[in-house]
Amino acid sequence: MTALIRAEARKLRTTRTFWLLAIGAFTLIAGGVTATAIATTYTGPASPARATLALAGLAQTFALLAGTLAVTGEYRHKTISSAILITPRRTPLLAAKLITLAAAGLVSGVVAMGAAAAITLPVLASRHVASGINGADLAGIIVGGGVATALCAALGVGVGALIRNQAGAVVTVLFLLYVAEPLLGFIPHVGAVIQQYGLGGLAAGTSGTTQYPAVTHLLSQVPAAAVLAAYATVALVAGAVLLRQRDITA
Amino acid sequence: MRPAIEVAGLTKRFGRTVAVNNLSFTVSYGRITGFLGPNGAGKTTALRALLGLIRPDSGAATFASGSYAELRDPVRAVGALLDASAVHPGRTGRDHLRIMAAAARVPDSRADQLLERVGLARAAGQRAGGYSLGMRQRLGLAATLLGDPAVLVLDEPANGLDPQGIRWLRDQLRILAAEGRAVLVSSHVLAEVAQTVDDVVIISHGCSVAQAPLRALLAARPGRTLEDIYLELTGYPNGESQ
Repeated sequence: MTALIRAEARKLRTTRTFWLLAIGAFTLIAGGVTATAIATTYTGPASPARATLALAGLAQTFALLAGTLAVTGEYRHKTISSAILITPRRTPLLAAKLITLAAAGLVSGVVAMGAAAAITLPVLASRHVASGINGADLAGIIVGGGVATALCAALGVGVGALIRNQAGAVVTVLFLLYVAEPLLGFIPHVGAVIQQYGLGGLAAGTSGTTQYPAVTHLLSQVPAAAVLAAYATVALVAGAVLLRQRDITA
Repeated sequence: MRPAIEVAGLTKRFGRTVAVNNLSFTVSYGRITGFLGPNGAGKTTALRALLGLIRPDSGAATFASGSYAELRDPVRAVGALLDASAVHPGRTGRDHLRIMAAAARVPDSRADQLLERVGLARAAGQRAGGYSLGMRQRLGLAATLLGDPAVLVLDEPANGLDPQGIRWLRDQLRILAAEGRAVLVSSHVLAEVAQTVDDVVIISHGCSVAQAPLRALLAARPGRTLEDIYLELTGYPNGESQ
């Protein structure tokens, strides 16, 4: 398994995809957090810091995409055949991808949330806005951001194993996050459930931030992480079963 | 001694299409076996079934020590090149090979030696998206040799090679067979096959229509070329009368 993980880490490092996603995410997060921290007039029940750091949740979207691309890219470029020839039992291949992407997600998520906090807190302080969080809260948010990003990368790997078509998988993920969940969020009663149990709400809950724009009745960190992990597990197990049974014709 | 490859009664359907129909043949160590047939005859499906990528509906395709899935260390037992275009275009040839090396626990230095051997040392640092098909074939052949396997399975390795490349490939295959390896190579390029292979297996519509040492096949039909025989067996309308 260590050999397979080394190979997966190389796959991640040696194409532009991962780096572009990482650079894109950090740029958007840094810019968005700076602008929000400068301008925020947040007075809701969550703290101004949490509401601002919600923007770092973009890291989770990018991690979901990175996980999806890590699997669908193998089908798109037909490298899935040679990968399976080296790992005929197939499941270890998916497991190695899962571990590699989750680890990359954890690191990226911690860095993203840490950087966002390093921008947000001084800016709020300079404006004499009380951040509303203490050191322990901040630690929880940074760790939570890492865990949420790792879980989203894992979920992405599962989605990619289920939907091999790269464009199809990416569109599905983005549609869920940015069309289906926000729209369903407007429906009375259903909306509250979507905000708590939809991907956006769970990622924000795991991070200990709010959604963006701020939605506050989220699950708290541990239950949110558990539900998100359950989603990822379902997608990964179903993806592994499909991968084992599929004829690899390209 | 068991044959290097034994295909026995292999059948695979995709929906209503029978891609491979009760196909049987063997491949011996130390020989190059040409696997011939028209487009859509089932060559690639048969090779993929042999390599465990496709599950056959019935029959079996095995190596001397068992099916592909049963091989203890597949990369050191069998080297396979199925589709030379199967390279991430954004990755360099060297990275492509080193990724496989890492997964197969083969040292990077071996990957670099193989790039040298297939004539890609200078292009190794370029993105594979800029490689010609011939260069991708060379990269694919390097990948098959990572584990120094005793059996090679190559699907259309001559595609996209220029005349120098074809001569080079022939020499490589001869060397590999002379070292005692079994080489199963599918091809359309009959003139090339006639100069390279020791044995031929010809399939048409998923069935085997001939298998014999090339010399015996030609001796049985004096004055006919491999192309004549191939066209006759695979149902070319005028094959018989030429």
